[in-house]
Amino acid sequence: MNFSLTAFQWPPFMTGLISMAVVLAFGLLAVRRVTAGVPSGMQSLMETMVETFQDLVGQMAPPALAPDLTLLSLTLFLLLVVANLIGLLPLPGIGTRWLHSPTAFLSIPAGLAVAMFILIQWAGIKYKGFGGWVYGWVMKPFPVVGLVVNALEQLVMPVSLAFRLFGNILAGELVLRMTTHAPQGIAGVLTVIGVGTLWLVFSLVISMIQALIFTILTVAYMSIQASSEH
Amino acid sequence: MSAFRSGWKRAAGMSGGLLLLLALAGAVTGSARASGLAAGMVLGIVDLVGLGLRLPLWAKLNQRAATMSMNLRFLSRLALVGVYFYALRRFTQVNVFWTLAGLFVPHALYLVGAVWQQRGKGVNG
Repeated sequence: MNFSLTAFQWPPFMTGLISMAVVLAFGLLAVRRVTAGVPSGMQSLMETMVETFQDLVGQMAPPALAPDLTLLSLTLFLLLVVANLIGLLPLPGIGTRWLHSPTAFLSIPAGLAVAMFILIQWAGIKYKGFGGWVYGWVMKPFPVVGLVVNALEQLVMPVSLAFRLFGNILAGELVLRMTTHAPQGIAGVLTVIGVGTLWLVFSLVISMIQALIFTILTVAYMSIQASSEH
Repeated sequence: MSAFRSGWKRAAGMSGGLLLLLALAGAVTGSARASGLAAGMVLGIVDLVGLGLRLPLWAKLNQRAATMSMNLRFLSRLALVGVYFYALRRFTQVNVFWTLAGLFVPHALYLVGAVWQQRGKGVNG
């Protein structure tokens, strides 16, 4: 498999679509037969998640940005959780030996990071106005020199977002396949059961943490961009 | 924060001991896997110690400065890992897939230690 950015590939595109379909189905199931009375299990789960993200975003984002950002961050988090976990399933992929996470291919995290970068800039323009956004880019913290500092800070954002997610998920998958690959003899079987299981648990935690980190960093960047000090 | 400080130091110490054992095993048996795992753990320990020292400082910075510091550190770490893996492939016979696994061993030990410390406690400690 080619995990780099070099060419369009079907496997991450397909698993990306599957991840989106799972999140969409979860959302539709949660709001089906929605009631103001005693909520069903799915409605209760969705309400808990929305409230959790409202609290999380509310602590970081300006009040005007918080409602929009809550929904964006929850959707992004759910998509990334499903996308990261899909590669841990012991299933054959479409055209590949194993089902890979779409986020284990650099093109998908890079695409997401570029989309988030555009949204971050949009937050700056919307909440400071176009003039304020340009002023923040060029004049803060020092006139003109600020442009260099800000360009470095802003351009590092999508790069670090993309590579952090890609590196962690790809490494997790590779090590999982390595530790559970065709065990030979009793030592091999014990490695799969011991190390493989331990690594699977570690990968589950890492998948969740990386989804949360991507989401929280996006919220933090948008909040910083929308604040008047920047 | 004090639990984090003691946690990363304990994990780094345990990783250091394990690293010595694996390096010795690799040298004695000539196992490319043991050497690869040990080589990865070197970088993992460096990362864990760096995080342990910097996280308390980042917690004191404002949001913008903290995220910028994290990003720049991440990019420098990415370059370091790239050069390290290139050197391993170019100049040694170690199994780089096991090096990749070794990178995460100190972090996994920290996680196991943190879970162990939390056993019997509620979510608020």
